[in-house]
Formats: sequence, structure tokens, C-alpha cells
Amino acid sequence: MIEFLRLAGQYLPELFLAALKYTLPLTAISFSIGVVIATMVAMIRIMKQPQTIMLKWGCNFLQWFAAFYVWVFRSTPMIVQLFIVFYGLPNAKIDFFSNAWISAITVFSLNTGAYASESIRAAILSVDHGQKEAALSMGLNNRQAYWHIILPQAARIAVPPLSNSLISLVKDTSLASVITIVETFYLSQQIAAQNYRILSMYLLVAFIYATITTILTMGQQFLELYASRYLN
Amino acid sequence: MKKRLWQGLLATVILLSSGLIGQQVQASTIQKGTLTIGLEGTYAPFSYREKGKLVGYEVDVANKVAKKLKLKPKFAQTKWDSLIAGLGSKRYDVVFNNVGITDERKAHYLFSTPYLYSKTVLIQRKDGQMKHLSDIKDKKFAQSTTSNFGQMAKDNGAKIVAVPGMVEAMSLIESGRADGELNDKGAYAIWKKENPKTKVKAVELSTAEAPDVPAAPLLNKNNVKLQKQINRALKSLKEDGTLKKLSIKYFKTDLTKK
Repeated sequence: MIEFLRLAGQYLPELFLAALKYTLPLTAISFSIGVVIATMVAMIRIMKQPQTIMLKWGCNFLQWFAAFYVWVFRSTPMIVQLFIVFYGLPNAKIDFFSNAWISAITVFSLNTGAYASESIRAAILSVDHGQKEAALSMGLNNRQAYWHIILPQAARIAVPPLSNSLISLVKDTSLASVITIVETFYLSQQIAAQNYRILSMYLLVAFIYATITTILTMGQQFLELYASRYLN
Repeated sequence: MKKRLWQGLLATVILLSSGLIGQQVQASTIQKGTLTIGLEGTYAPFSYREKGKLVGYEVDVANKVAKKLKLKPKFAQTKWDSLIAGLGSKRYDVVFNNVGITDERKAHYLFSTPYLYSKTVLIQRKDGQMKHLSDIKDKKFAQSTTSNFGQMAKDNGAKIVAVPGMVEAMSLIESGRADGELNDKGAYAIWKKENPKTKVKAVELSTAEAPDVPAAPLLNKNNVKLQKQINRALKSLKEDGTLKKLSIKYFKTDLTKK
């Protein structure tokens, strides 16, 4: 036990630094992009069919594409996606993702986007239809109705499932170690390869992730309160 | 709303395609003026972390080679199993990671000249009875599946338990979930030094049954230009005694000669 505390004192600062340098930026950037993608995909999949024939086809194609995108990212393991983008695509002469960070953020944000789009879609659909009718009858146009009336209410409902996605993402960023990013978990493996205190190092790194997710959970509680401030 | 969305999508498509049509420059390294080196970083004494820095025999040799080529060294670290994949995908120029020269690898990649002849040890628990390579038949061996040690274990009839690296393998042997592993003598020596109370021992295999495996920098098939440059650099490092000095620093003996 004393030995473990000594190791903690020695390595926790390093591991926290790695979390600040890799885990948190990867999570923050990917999640921000992911939520934007998710919102767009959710809107596309809810969208009403326009009347003009050309627009109708375009809309059909968009909806099909959005559904296809969600299917692709939900039907394959994240680690496979990382390998395809980082190690696989260059063999097909697609070297846009040559940088490990770009590859990681691409996969993480598209993956999060696919999962979160379902949460957001459910949240939007759960806002009572009467709200939109009321907004339209007040003279707001479609976009205003969404922006001022429906999305704020949907956001409140989406907080718990989105927090879920965020917390999952924090932990999933450890997969970035398979594409040459020496993030928090790989760093702990490196330290373990040097001092051979395997169990202690894994426990310490687990503690780091648990700390981050606990802070995020507190943030979630605050957000829930904030989003419900006009109720009750 | 819809107009905005179309504009956004269009912008994304343009951005993506502009990246895809990027120029493919035929240089000897993927990044001009930089030698990108792939290695594990979890394999003492070859490449490992000490006091927050990447160190090890491979790291020092790669740094010296880069200096000779007047290139800036840059290290990319990943586990062994994806290390060679990353070379083929042009993620780094060369792998310095105790890569043994084998015919299979020669078919797909280029080797530079050998700079290390490592000795194989058979690692097992203290009560283990294995003395020769022939004894490992049907035993459970913890190996990285794609390594030369893994291949050697498989060829001699061992059942392979796949692990990412040496640290994980040692953990399986100590806890009895694997019977043993084949690994590098130098790597085991370091591990033993750090774990004096260990319940593990190692038997050195004679060169007759496990010939010294020459290890060399691994390059992509078409990169003959860089291969020649690295060959020249290694030759001069060998002649001026640098390689020998580094080998003694990390392995306590000179492993740079056959």
C-alpha cells in the first residue's frame, strides 16, 4: 500500500499531464464536431418531404445518406474504424488522414456523431408537436420555430444521453494508442514497461479516467438543472 | 435552414476533396528534412521511457543515423502488431525495433544492414522443466503473434497466447496463465534486474537451435534510396565504434557482431 502511494505520488502528475495533453483535447474536439454532425443528421432524418420533385429527390438522397452514415459507424468497432482510416486508406492512395491526430479526431467525431444523432433525434421527436404548431401560429417561420422553441426543449431531454456519449468518448480515446498517439493509457503502459509495477500503473490510469468522468458527471447534473430552469 | 445546410455540406465536400488531391511527392522520406522512426517505446532496453524521455538502444542508433543523414529524427510509437502495418501505410520511413530478418518480411519490405544480433532466451516459471526448443511443444506461450519469437514458438509446436508486448507476456507467465515465452536476452536481463524477487527464470538457447537473429532497420520495398543512405550511415557508425559503445551501454555486451 505504501509502495502504491509512492508510485501514485511519482506518476500521477505525469499521467494527469498526459490526460490534459491528449485525452481531454481529443475528447473535446471530437465531441464538439460530433454534436454538430449529430444535430445535422438528426434534422435531416426528421425533415419533412418538400413538394418540388427535384428537392424531393435531393431530400430523399440526403435522408438515405444520413441513415447509411449512422449505420456504418454503429455497425463496426471503433478500433476497426481507426485501423481503416490510419493504416488502411493510405494503401488505397487516400492519404488525407496522414496525421494520427486528424485520423483519431475524424473517427471519434464521426463515431460520436452517429450515436449522438439518435439521441438528438429522439429528443427532438419527444418535444410535443403542439409546441411547433403554437410557434408557427405565432408567426415564427420554420427555422425560428426550431431554433427558439423546439431545440431548447430538445436540448434538455438530450442532456443525459449526450453525457453518456461524452463519457464513453473520454474512455474510448484510449484507443488512439493503436495509431501511434502516446495518450494516457499508452503512457501508463510505457511506465509499466520501465518499472514493471503493472497492476499499480493500470490502477493509477483507471483512477485518472474515473476522475475525469466524475467531473463530467457533475457537469451533467449542473446542465440538467440549468436546462430545466424554466420548468416547475 | 436548408440553404445553410447545403452550403455546409458543399464546403465539407470541397474541403475533403482538396485534401485527397494533395500532391504525392516522391522523396526518400515522407516528411522533407525529417526521418520518421517507428518503434514500440514499451520494450526495454530497445526503446522505453526513462524520466519522461524516450530512450534505448534503438532510439540512440536511430538518432545517430538521422544525424548522419542530416535529417531531424521524429519518433512514432505504437504496439508491435500495428508497427509494421504503419510502415506499409507510409506512417514512418523506417522501423528500428529489433526487427529480425526473415524471408517473409524480405518479400514485402527492405532491410538495411544488420546492426544487432540478439540472443534468444526461453523464459518460464522457476519450476519449469523446459531446457530446449523442442520442449515447448504443446505448451502455452505468451508471444506477440507477428514477431520472430512468436514465429519461432509457433514453428516448434507451442500454443500461442497473443499479447501486445513483453510486459504483458511476463505478467501471464508469472500468474501461471502461460507456461513461457521466447524473447530477447537483453530485454529479459533488464526485466530480471527490476524484478529480483520474481518467480521466473530463463534458459539461454544454444545458437545451434536458435541461431542469433540479425536485426536490421525495416523500410518500404520501393525506398532503395533511403536504404542505401542508412546502410552507409550504419557502416560508418560501426567502423567508428559507436554501435559497439551503445550496445555495451544498453546490453552490457557487444551484440553488434555475428
